Amino acid sequence: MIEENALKNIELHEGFVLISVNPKLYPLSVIYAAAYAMLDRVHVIIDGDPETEILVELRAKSKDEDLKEIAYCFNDELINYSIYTIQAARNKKLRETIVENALRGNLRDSIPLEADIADPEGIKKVKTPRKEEISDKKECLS
Amino acid sequence: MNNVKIEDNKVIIVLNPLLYPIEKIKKAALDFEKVGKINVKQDSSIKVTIAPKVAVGINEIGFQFCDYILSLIQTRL
Repeated sequence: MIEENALKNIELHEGFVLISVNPKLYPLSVIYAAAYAMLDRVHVIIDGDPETEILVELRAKSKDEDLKEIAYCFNDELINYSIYTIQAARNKKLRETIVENALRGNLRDSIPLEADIADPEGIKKVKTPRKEEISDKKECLS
Repeated sequence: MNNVKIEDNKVIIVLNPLLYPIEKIKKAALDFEKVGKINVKQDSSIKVTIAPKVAVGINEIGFQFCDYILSLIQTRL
């Protein structure tokens, strides 16, 4: 029994499903990662030519598994890991900067204490009215 | 695909060296020694023969071996 999908990259056989992957779209590292993510549900065998076409055979560990669903799940994982790889490459510089700053944290100059900050204009001083001034104002109002 | 076959109570696994690095296969073979006698031969493809101590679920051992190599590739790149 062989059943194919519209793209003709999934072949359903008795007991296993064969998926054809274009290595120009999905690099080998992504295929390994997607296959590894499926290992709890299926046995995986990878074959083919890394330059032209990679064939992934997925064989269900349990008889209850739906092979078609497994095949689509594998394709989802391929997209998932492709996006992860692209985002990781984009954020590489940012991640490096964050880690660099985190590691440098203890070596950086400590933040100066409030007492150490010069205040030549007297801006920091909180001006509160004296008791006499308050009583004078009360008399004026009455 | 006929990568995993059974012959004379032995499981024969044929792997593509471009997809399964030989050093990972050798490491997996060492780790599978407790399962049975293992022989690894390489020419244009890599042929692994496992003669399990217990002749039950021989096919399953072959698939588990392939899964184990994949986990070695993925976790120790």
